[in-house]
Amino acid sequence: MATAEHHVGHHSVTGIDNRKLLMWIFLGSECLFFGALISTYLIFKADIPAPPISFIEAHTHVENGHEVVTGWFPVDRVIDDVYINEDGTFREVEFAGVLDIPITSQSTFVLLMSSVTMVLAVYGAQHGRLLSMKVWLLATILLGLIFLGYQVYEFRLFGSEGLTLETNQFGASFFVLTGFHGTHVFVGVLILASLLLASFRRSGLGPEAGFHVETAGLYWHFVDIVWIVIFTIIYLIPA
Amino acid sequence: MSHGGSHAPHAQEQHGLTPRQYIGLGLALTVITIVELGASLWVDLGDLLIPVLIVLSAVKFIAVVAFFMHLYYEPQLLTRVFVGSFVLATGVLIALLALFWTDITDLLNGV
Repeated sequence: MATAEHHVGHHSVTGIDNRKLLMWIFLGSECLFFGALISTYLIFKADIPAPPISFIEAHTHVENGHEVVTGWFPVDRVIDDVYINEDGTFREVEFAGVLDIPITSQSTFVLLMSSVTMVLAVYGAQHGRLLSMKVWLLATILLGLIFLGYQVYEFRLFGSEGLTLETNQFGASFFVLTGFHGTHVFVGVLILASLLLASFRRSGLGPEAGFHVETAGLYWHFVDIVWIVIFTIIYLIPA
Repeated sequence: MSHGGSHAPHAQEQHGLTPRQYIGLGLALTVITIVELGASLWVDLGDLLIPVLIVLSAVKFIAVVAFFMHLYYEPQLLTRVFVGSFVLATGVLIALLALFWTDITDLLNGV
């Protein structure tokens, strides 16, 4: 009886559980948060002369037996597709961008799959299949950690190529945007891990297990849709 | 996006697709991502590239929100809260770009 009264007490005059309503309002505010960061990135991306880093990787065209050049070139010696040698002569180069799209595509796939495992965990929790819920929660946590691993790898790679938070405005806006997203993923992993650990208690997640996992799932899926936008704007749309 | 209107509170807790349908949707989203990659890296779509990428990512966005986040099955108020916030965020983005970007047409042209 007490449980039923407690459960009814969570519903507002809208007929919606006020905790769920609060979560959706929070996600709405997150839309504004990431909208501001994406705006900043786009503004600085447009204002910065390409390429945005001090050294860029370049590969020469291999045509008619001409030389093959691969390496790192100071950006101040590069104009469009021409590299200026120290002796004043020129050679054509084809620049490879700093963003590694194939690698990021893999991490995008990982995060997308984590949304599938998350929704399966929610399904298990809502249908009383606790073992299924635990397995899919664990899978989601692992996929989240793999995504974070990809992000750490990418950040270290960019750092070694001369692109850091302090390099220029592009670097600052890029790292702030993707860094905050990564932080959200990390927080999501912590939330899911706490749910998974709590599910191993004798009382489990209690009578509202489905609700708790669903609410955590809302946050996790939101992190995924933010990445869908970031992946398209930063990585796929050409500079 | 909402489908169900005002539900009884307890009816909200078990709705949505079946596990097989969720996996199918995940695979469909993966295929869309591969198409996005193809359009960006391997196919020259010219001026169509950015509109195509925006449409494809919008499809992924809506699919995740509607079905993975169950917003399609939730009361309309939640849809209004989220869509309203998203529209506001998009408006902020457009306003900031218009204020600070010297040539907004560069965005549309992908320059």
